[in-house]
Amino acid sequence: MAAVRVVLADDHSIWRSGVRTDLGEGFHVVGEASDADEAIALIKREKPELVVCDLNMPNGGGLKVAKECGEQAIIVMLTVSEQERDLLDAVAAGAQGYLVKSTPGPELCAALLRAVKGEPVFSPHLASLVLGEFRRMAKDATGANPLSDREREVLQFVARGYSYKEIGERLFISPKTVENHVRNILSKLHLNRKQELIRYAVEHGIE
Amino acid sequence: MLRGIAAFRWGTWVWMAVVVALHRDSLGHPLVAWFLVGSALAWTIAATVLLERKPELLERWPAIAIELVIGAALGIGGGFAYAHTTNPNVAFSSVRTIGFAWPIAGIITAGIVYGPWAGVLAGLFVGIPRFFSPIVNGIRFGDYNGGGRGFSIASTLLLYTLTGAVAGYIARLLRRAQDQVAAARARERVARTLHDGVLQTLAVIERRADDPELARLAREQERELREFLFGGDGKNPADLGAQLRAAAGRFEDAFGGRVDVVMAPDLPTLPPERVEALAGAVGEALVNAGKHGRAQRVTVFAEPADDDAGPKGGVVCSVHDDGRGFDVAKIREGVGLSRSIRGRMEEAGGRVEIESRPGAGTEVRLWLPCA
Repeated sequence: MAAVRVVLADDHSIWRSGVRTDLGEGFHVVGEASDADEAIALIKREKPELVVCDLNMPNGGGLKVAKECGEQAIIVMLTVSEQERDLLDAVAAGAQGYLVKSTPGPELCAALLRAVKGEPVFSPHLASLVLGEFRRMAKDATGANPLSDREREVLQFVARGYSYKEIGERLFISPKTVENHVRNILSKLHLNRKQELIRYAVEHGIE
Repeated sequence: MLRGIAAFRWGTWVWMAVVVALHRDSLGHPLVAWFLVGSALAWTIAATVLLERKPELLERWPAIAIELVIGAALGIGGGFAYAHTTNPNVAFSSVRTIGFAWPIAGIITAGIVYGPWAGVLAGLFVGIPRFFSPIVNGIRFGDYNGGGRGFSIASTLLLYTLTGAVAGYIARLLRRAQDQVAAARARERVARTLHDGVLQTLAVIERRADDPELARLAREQERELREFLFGGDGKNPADLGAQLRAAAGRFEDAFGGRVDVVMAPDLPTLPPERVEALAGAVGEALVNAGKHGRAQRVTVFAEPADDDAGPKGGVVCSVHDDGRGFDVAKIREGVGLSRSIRGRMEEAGGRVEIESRPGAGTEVRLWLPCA
């Protein structure tokens, strides 16, 4: 397999060089950026397969990058803190998932490779945030698409720290099917967020 | 605030001057009356000038003392200046004084600067001399037989002291709120700086250290810093998240593994004794995972029990490890399991479920109702 073309975006250069060392053979870093605007320009120019992006960067952060480039490249967020709601926004805006910055090198590489193959990088924290978000939307009764029972079950397993393979074994489905469920959950989240924004805009007379 | 008081002084002074001018023909001692009105005017002007030039002086004791003395003089001298009656019952029940409202400015200032009790003292200091104004006119208190229209001076005294107390109290509340806002801002600034710098660096060390002891140390520091920045310090017994993270920290210190504590964003609040029971049970489950299961990765996940099989309106907490696991059917309830976990949970009205297989880790699920 050819090396994966990567753009690294982080305002701390120590981080970029650290991640680059960790990535090793399987990846080819085609460019580095230190803020959101720089990253967006770089992604448009270099057309990488993968963007590893810090959530907190100057000029709009990872959120802006996910919004602008979520369709063009696979974006994985790196973050120091898992308690940020921005994370949810970034994933809803089109990021493929996120990793905490303390993830050990080999684990980071494995997760990024899975992300490149289209597997959503879902940690227990993210699953918990998404579950909470769907509960909130159900409570607000905004007419959003709710999770199916199976999707919620899958998400709860992820939140409890099970891998896709383990979830598949427990639910008697293949890991691929589990992955598909997760992908569907993400697109539902994405869609619901869009609908919420449109509804908000209509209600407040913004055109 | 000082500006408002200055405006108040001017308004009440004008009113005082108008009243004295209207009464000019019935005054017993017109010179005294105009002297008092003049002193009040002098201080009103002086205070206005100070406000523009050196406002901080208005909050020092000499300025407050001058104003209170003039206020007291208005009270005691006002009755003398009017000398409107020789009837003790009339004199003591409705004392005529000059400038009833003007002294309030000084009382408010005293309350604001020195607190509610100082406000009360200032009110007494200005209010009490009014009782003596008939005496200055040569009327003896002994001749007063309780007639007349009741103690209007007493109600004035009450008004003065209450005003001082309330002004002091409100100022104190405002100041406290301001302090809190300032403290929160400072904390936020510190958090942002540390978040960007120190936390990142600790994460780098943790990731890149070849020495496991160094990595563990960095992890420990990161955890403590995070706890300080984003949540309680684990000492608040009602904070489930902080309690669970503290239990996770103890596991990491003792067994060297790693625990993710995942809290649903919309967890219901548990009473402190249930938080203690749940955190205690989770702590026991973690000890089991480390000691018997040799687990290295554990996920603790707490979420609302609403859409689960568990009791409605409670909390479900899962402790899932990657340890060796065991045969639930064969191993009779281990001592640690039955007593510490089941005991704690059942006492708090909850229940426990354990799922494990040899070689496939263990999950302990804990249900606890809110009430």
